[in-house]
Amino acid sequence: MFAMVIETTNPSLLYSMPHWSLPFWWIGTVLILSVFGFAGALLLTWLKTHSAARAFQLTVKALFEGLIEIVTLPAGCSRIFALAKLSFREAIRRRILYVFFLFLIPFLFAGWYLPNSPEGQLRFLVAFVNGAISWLLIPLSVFLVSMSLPTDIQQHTIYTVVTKPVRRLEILVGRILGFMGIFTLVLLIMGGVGLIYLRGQSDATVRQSQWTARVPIYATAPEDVTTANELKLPLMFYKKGQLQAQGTNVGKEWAYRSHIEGATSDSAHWFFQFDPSQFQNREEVPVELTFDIFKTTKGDPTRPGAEESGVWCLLRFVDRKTGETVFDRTFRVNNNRGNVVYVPAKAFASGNVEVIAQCLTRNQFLGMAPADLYLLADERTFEGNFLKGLVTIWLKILLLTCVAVTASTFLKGFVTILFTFMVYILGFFHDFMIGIVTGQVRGGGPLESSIRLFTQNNQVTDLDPNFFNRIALGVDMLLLELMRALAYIIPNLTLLDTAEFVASGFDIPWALLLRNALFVIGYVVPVVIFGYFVFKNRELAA
Amino acid sequence: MTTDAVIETRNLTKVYRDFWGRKKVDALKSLNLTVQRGEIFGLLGPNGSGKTTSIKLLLGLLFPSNGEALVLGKPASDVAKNERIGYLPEESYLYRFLNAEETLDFYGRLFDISGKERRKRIDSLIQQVGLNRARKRVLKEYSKGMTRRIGVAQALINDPELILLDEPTSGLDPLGTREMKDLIRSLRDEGKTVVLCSHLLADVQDVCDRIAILHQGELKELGRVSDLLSIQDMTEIKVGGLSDEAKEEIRQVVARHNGNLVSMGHPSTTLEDLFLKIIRESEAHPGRRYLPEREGEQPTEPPVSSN
Ligand SMILES: Nc1ncnc2c1ncn2[C@@H]1O[C@H](COP(=O)(O)OP(=O)(O)O)[C@@H](O)[C@H]1O
Ligand SMILES: [Mg+2]
Repeated sequence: MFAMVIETTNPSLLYSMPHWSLPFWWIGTVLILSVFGFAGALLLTWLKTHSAARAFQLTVKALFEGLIEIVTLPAGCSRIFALAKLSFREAIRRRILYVFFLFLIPFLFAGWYLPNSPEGQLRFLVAFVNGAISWLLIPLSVFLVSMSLPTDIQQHTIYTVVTKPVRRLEILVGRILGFMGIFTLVLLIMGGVGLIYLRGQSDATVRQSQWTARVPIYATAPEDVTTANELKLPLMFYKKGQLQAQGTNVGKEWAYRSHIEGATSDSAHWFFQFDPSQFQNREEVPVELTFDIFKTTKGDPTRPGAEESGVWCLLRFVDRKTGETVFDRTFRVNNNRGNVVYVPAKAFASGNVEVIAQCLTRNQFLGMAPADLYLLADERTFEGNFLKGLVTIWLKILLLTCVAVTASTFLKGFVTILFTFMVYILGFFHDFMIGIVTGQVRGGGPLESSIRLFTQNNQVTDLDPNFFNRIALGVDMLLLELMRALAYIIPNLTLLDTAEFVASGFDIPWALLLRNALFVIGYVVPVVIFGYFVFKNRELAA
Repeated sequence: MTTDAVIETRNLTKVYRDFWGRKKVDALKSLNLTVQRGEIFGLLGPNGSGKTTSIKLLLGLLFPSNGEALVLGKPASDVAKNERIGYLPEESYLYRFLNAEETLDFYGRLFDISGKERRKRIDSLIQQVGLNRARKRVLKEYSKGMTRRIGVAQALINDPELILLDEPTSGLDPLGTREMKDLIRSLRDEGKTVVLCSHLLADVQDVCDRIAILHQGELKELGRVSDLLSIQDMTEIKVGGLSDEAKEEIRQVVARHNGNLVSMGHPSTTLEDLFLKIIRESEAHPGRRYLPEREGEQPTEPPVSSN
């Protein structure tokens, strides 16, 4: 068994349910945006009617009519179904779906690049299958959806539809449902093919060890213990007689893992709180861990016995209710593959356990992060987990479909495609955008950083306050404000990525899936409603 | 106005503007019209005179720049009125990947009709427009005339009270034209109201009860077809079964009045004559309502209402 880790500084967050305040944030944001939308509509109507009073009257009327239509949407379900079926049929009859067979081509060649190491292999294959699905399905769906409504308008087929008792919102919703029907079908077929392929391509050893979905129990910050500077953390380090947030910095550039020194009193402490009843009928519980080994003295690796001696670790399990050590084990640390320690289930009877690790080998350091050690509560099927991964892709497609449908209510087909892709790409740079607007990313706005790049100026000193640079900084201010607004409107698509779980054999937490679903629904509902207001007040024959 | 008005427009005006709001075309200028329940009303005018624009305004496909339109007592922008309206667009803009049955099924589902009723109507409409042999073929393969027919069937799927037909006979062969006219008359006989627009004078002359003539977005003439086409200073008499003495007597009467009897009655001009006359008149005096050479009997402005 190879232990694997999800790299995150606070793994228990993955399993936490949405915070209770979330709906309020959502409502607040939507309200603020609605006010902006209303003001924009008012302004446009004013420009058209040249009368503020009339514009106000018209806009309020449109708002109320719209709200009524939104509330009564379910009454139109038979019409929505008919429209959905139309979109579904359209995609099928136009034979666009054949393009999806392109998806099979890369599979013929993937084998060439297959890594040799077993843990690398499945990771590669899963990334590959997920990539093949995303990279084909997403552009194609954006293309299909973006062209749909504009084509209807341009070819006037929309005339015969809107002159029936169809509400405009039904047209949008029907379209989204129809397309999502197609995409679901295609996604399932692709997923099925991908899964068969994964099975066929992976080695027997991989299938034994990685073909699974681990359900880990991660350490959580305890209520009653803090570090010396009063931080509550799931993993704390004991150093110089104190609990601390960090261990020893061994000067590795990537400080994700913190180290403890061998043959000292330094130790690492994980705190576990869980429901012990889940282990009632179990003999033992596997504890999986992956530690990084850092050697200060290089030693002579060719010296006989150097490999065998290795780095040793002592793991102690302390029941925090009684304070007794309930289990301990000394073992040699595997650098890459990690270790599994089988602990008798009765050690976890209290549901409140501290795990203490010490490095026993002199001049060696062990590096560890909160998610590096976990109790393996359960193992689920790889297939089921793979399906959960598809759900995430599905959510992403839903989001893009809704964005495209909304954009296509006021943009031409081609522009809609560009627009939707822009949202998609910016969505991946969401963290970066937030970083820039909150000043965490050095180098300033777009123009300033271009100037720095051009003049080979470093990122820390201020620019010359010459005329040109001042203008550039002024423009940057505006651009930054724009980006700030964008950062609130563009969806953070990095959230919608769960392939890593599937690839490393961890069960995708339901809580994460739920939060993703809420995020997407919370995003698309206002987006589609915005599109509806635009569409309803658009002259379709002009 | 009377409660039986199915369509009422007041100062209905449409200016097409470009993206920046600059004026492109004055497509319709202050149209006042009333269409009564149960009549066949024709909108007549040369290409580009604003017929299609008027119909689109009535359907809410366009928003008026000024004025308003009431259709079945509701504002044109109200979706609910569409329950009782059928519309055949200028060209049948339908989904070309569907076949005839699927097309009617799709449009039928947009109404509150039971599945059974829908299937019944689909069958009878396909028969009625003569597409029985092509009912399983996709519209892509249809000829223009066939497309027109399925377009009409689509407009009638909800058994509408008011039917708006934009150039219903365009693309049809003479037989098809004939059938279309018969269909329109039979719709009136069922008590429905039909508004059609056309530049084909013969169609309008045959079937319409009343017509409005548009030119460059202005209403030029409005009235009953029979009235518009009668020549008031001529009398036409056609009598059967008169004795020779009686005929002689009539001739004498005519001679006494210095008449020259050709035949008796009001002979009709063709609509084409009237039409050309109006257009010439209109070009000579732009912006003025057509004044027929009938002595002091027609109001000039404003052209409200009906006979
Ligand atoms: N979408 C449009 N944009 C700009 N001008 C238009 C548009 N549709 C029609 N027009 C113009 O409006 C006038 C009336 O057109 P239309 O109502 O289609 O005439 P008709 O149906 O009587 O042939 C024409 O001059 C036409 O060019
Ligand atoms: Mg026309």
